[in-house]
Amino acid sequence: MKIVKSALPISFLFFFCTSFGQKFTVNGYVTDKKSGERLLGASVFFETKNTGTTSNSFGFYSVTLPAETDSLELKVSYAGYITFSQKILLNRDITLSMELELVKDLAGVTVTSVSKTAIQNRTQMSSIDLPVSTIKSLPAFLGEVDVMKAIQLLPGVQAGSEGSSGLYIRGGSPDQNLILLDGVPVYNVSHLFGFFSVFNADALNSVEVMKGGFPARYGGRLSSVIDIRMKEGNKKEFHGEGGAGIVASRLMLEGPIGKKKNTSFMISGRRTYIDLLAKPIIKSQTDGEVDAGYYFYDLNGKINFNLGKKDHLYFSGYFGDDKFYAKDKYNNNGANGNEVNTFNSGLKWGNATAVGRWNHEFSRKLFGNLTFYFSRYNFDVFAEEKSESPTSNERYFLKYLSGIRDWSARYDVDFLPNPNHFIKAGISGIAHFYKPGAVQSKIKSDDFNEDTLIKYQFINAKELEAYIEDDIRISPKLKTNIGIHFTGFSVSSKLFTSVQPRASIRYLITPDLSIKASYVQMNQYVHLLTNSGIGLPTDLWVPVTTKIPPQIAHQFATGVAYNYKNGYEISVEGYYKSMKNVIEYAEGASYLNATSNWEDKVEIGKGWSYGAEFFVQKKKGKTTGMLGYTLSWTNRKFDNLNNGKLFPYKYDRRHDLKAAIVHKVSDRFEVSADWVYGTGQAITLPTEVYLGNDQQEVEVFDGRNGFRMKSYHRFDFSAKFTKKKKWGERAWVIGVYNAYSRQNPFFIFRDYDYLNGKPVFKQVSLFPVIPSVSYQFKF
Amino acid sequence: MKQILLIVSLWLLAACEKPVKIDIPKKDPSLVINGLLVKDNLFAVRIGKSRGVLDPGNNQVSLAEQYTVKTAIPVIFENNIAIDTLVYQPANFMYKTIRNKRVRDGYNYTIRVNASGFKTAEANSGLPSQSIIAELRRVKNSRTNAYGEQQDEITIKLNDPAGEKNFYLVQVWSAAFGGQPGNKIYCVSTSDKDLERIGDNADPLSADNCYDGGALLMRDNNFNGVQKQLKLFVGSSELTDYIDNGTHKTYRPYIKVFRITEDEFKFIKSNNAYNNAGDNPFAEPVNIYSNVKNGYGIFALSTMAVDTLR
Repeated sequence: MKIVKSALPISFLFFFCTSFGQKFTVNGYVTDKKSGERLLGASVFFETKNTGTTSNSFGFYSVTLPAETDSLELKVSYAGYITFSQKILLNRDITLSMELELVKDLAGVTVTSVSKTAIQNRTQMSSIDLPVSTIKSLPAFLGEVDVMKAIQLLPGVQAGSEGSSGLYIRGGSPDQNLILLDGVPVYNVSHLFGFFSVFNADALNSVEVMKGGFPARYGGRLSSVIDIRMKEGNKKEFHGEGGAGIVASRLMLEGPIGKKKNTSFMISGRRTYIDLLAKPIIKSQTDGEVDAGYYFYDLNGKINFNLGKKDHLYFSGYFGDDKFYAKDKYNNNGANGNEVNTFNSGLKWGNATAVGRWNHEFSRKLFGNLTFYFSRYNFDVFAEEKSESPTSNERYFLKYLSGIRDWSARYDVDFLPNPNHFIKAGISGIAHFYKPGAVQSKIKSDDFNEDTLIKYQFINAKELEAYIEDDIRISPKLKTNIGIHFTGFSVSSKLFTSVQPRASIRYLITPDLSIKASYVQMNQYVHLLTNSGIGLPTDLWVPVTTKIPPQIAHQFATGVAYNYKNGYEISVEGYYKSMKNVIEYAEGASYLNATSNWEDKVEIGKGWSYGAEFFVQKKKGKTTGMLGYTLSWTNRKFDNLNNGKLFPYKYDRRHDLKAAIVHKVSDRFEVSADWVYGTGQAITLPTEVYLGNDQQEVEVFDGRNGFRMKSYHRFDFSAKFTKKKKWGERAWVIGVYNAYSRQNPFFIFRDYDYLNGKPVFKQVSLFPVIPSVSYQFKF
Repeated sequence: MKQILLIVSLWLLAACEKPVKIDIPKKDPSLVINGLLVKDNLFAVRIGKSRGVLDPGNNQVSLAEQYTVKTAIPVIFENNIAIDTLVYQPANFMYKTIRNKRVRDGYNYTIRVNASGFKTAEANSGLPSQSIIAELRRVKNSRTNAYGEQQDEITIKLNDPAGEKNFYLVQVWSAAFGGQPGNKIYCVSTSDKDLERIGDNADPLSADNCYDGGALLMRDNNFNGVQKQLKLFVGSSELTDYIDNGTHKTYRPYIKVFRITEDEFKFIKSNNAYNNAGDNPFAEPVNIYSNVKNGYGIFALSTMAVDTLR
């Protein structure tokens, strides 16, 4: 709190000191020339004045400067694009929207990655833009491009179990990640038990990963913010892209609507076809009696309207489900004659998000954005048994439902009074509806008919958030971002409140080198009840209770950021994070369910994570890539676990090294590879055995997570063969996952080796070398 | 071509399951005492030993043969006075009293075990006050569960002694038959908040929300010194009477209520948690609670009340 008290007066002092005299404003939007999509985070700079700003989340910028008699040169830059330059005479307010052109259209220059303002200039630290083009170029598991797996290649991010898309960021658990799709939280980002994520890269525009130094506008989770934005849709031309792989096919279409081209759309879909391929095999194996399968699909859509110069409307949505089904039908000649029995069961889980936004430019300096959103996650499982005969009909139906549903309204404003301040403020209200579980049972026979719904205490919670932050330019070299985030969370007649200070500072030592530091407090009002951390559909979100209070984290970070010849971005950061009220299973709890006394099955404790991260990203040239190394320690301490002693977190990794490279050999041929290495996962293993009271062998475990599995490493490779066609472009992608077939440990168990007559530990590995091939096209 | 396919297939299948070497620290074996005794029982315990998790043992003989320490000297103390030395009985691998010493009301008991090559192990237990069922009622076919099955309602009233921490183990048994004591009921439904779930059946796919009828555990935090009413629902078909065709005697289902020590309470909970975690590679492993100093196992005493369901 002291930081807030001292920092806010300084902020206002600077604001007033720089607010007097005859001034004019230059404002407008920065967009991509080819697609018309707005560019967020572009640098807008007056070189002679050594001052400027960046475009906001909707491409809007505003710079207010004292009147000038001489013309000033305005430069707008965005990595990967040709710098826009124009001389202007600042003797009146000017509206100027700029269209930037991609560098790759220039002969002899190749840029495959684009990102925002150069790393050394940003006040924010611990944040990485992961260009979608890079994500799509990296080797992919079974040929399916996966955003979450690409994020796992960043330093400070651990992957969890083999093959899963779970993220453990700076010692935090997956529930501590705020994953936003167009500003809407997505609660379960996994398909197929975590092996794929729900984000279809074709539909995405940008991916930003924040591990610390969170600006005040974000809140609600302890460890990270992953801000994913969907494409707006090309405003100038109709385009499409898609592909077909071993597992799934996908198609994305985008283009303008109407002759004025004020409206554009983007629609994208993906579906797996494991079920379609397996169906004939299953049927032939069961004489046609069984019909079973599994598939998942994703649908993304976005439409945006220009309602004039000052207003813009966006509507976007995501719908995705996983479905497993099994149907068994057989005839039985019983006492009631020819009886037909049908057994039908299924599991279905998935997310849906919908968001509407209205941008309004109140003045040249004030930009507002109203957002309404809806987000839900549902998990349903049902079983139905029917028995039909000439003399009787019976039906038994059982369904289990669980999930979470959010409705929210939010208003954000960006106020740019002068180049020394970029003030953001906002307020939001969220209504959460937690559906921890309900069982519906229907029984119908000739003489009995009953429909029962057993609800397990649906929980409603209301959340109010408000924030204000200011990105303050104290001097050309010194910038700071100071803010506070307030949360009020009301559940079961109990109100939890918090004021969370946020501060970060950047000092430019040279134009290419800066040092940075940050402090944040984050509070989290939801817990995830999960039995694995691998993203199973049965994972349940529940609100805080008086017994299980909100999680709180404090994180300090410091580091340097260096931009080498605009080609390499290098950062070295150290961080220390403490966490309070984190939850772990009580000993022996393996399945958590809000229908039972889940509060009794978890323990509340503390956590610490600290370490250093090194990251190099090359964004220009024929060869691009990234290299990250993390040295870290993550521990937990619970009164009722491990005799109250400190123990390493399951995903504590001392060393974590990741490298990814993409090389464009020619316009027709591109290769990419990645290699990851991590210290083995911490594991609890028995050290002794004895015969228990029930005459069964009992294992004695000596210290929680006291042992390590073997280190994890893996090499993936892919090659892309592209060919230009009259209609556009097509590519074949051949990939290999785990190219040298490393047997990475998934889990270890004790077994008996009968051949040698002794107990042994056995390691289970999941994926050996897995080749894949996919076809892609673009027009 | 076939050879190539075979090699590729073997390579693909290679990454599955394989033995791994893990350096487990060596530990000296410890004595293990196992004895859960009810009031008026004759003293009888099992004495065993622990061994390294990777020690080969002897697979040719039974587990009891492998683990039992046959040369131990277990001494029973009653209020700190030695009253008996238990003697090894090879027939059932147990140490038993040969002086007909029984667990008596109002005494504390200690067992101290010496054996060559082991540290002396010791455990003690008091005897909880007598368990009493104040009232037992049964309403047949009182409701239908989500599966359409009829359930009986069982109401048990217990008078909890004031001013002390009490722990209860309630068991629901089917009728005895063929000389057997019947079976503990697998699934008991209840919404009672004082029952602690241990046999974790809280699977969302399970509509009945079952409790293990052999291990209904309660502590008196919420009913200290007052009467506790416990309401249970059990499938009516599980609670049928058994009539012996030879003797024409009717055997009825019955309820057992144990008053147990805190040590036994913790032991039962952790033992169930251990068994639940056993087959789940994602579950955090559990150490079974032990009250044995310098060793493992459990030595605890309890009192019991039993009544039939009519």
